[in-house]
Amino acid sequence: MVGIRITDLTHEFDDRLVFDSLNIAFDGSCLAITGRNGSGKSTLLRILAGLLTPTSGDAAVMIDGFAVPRDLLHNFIGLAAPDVRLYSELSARENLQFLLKTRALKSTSEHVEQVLCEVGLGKRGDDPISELSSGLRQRAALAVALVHEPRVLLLDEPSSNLDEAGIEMVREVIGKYSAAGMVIIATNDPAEAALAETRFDVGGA
Amino acid sequence: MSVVHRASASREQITSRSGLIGYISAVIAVLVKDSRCELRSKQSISAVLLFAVTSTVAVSFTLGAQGQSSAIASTLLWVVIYFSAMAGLSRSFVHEVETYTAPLLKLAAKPNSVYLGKLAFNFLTLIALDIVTVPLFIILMGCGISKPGLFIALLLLGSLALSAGATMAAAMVSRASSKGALFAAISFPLLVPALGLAISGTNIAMGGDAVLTAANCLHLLAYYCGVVITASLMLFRFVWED
Repeated sequence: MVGIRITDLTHEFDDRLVFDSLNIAFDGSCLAITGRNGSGKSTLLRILAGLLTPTSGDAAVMIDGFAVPRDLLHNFIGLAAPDVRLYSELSARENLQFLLKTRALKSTSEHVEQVLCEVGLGKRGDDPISELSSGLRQRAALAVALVHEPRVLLLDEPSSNLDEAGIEMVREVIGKYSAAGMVIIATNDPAEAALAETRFDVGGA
Repeated sequence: MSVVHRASASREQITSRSGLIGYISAVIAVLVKDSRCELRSKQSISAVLLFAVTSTVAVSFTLGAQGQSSAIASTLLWVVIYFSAMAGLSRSFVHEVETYTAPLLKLAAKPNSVYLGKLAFNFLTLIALDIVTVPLFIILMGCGISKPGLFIALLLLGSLALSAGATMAAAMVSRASSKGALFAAISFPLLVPALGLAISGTNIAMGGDAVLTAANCLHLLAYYCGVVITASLMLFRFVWED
């Protein structure tokens, strides 16, 4: 059982208030976080992923009724976001292998190949990230979020830069991970938001 | 964390390494990743080696022919190593921030794995620097090494001490705006004790006299490394995480 509990969450950047006493409790399979530009969608995902410490309040990922401690979040969360870049000197395959090892996970080469194929990078998996187009980099970023098979998948504008086939791939990934855990999508795209069973408007909170 | 927590169908293809093995695996992964990126971009090592060779040659042109005392030669050697290290060791963290890969590393690795992996990378960079610079320095300056074993031990311990302090300082300045100046300003007071000990010990290894004995220099350098690395492991989380 996977869920998120956001309680009285307040966050400020310098003097700019992003959230004020935000509360969300969600135990379903797919949540879309919507809101105008600058409303704090990406910030909320970064807080849930443990990349940002909120000014006050609490944001917790719940697994089987227990809040996951911050130092274990990296095993349970996968985040694909525009501001999470891959190592451009390495190939997508090397990035994935590196990220598995830093999580103290041992995987087979078939697993890495399977993840690369899942996002449509099977033939370009050995090219340096710096030589990939923006769409292929977006696919590689998604592979990085999936490689450790997280229980909670956080996607920030996942279809940006993608072609029709890429958008269909994202839909399949969202469907698969919704069934096995939880997917949270931060988006302004109505088609992406429609994939979620529940929608939360940050700007309207 | 066990395999049953994984989300998709390929559960048999991905398993956890437990305890110390997993920790060491993560540290080695950071070291290998940094080495691989460095070998492909050559940003840090080029800056370090270029500075080291240039400064060694410049110093030797002015002072080499005059037959300097062991005290001056040991001081000049460590000045060259120190400033060369300052030219490149901050890159390990600054590069992560400048290329926006720091969030990826934060998402995947425990903070202490990152510190130890970066420390190992910086130590290997300094060893590469020593291998190029020290023979060049000895030849151009005409230095004699009367105690080679002590000299090598001091180079290794001194390089570890510089790496330990510089790695922590690099993490601290990586999010600041004027990184270069701040890195030197923070590193200098942190590294002065190690530099003093390395210079004294090297002076003895070159046949000179010093207030401390060679054993004292080695022991104090080892203690310095232990204290700085332990303190860094305790504090790094607060520097690295938001």
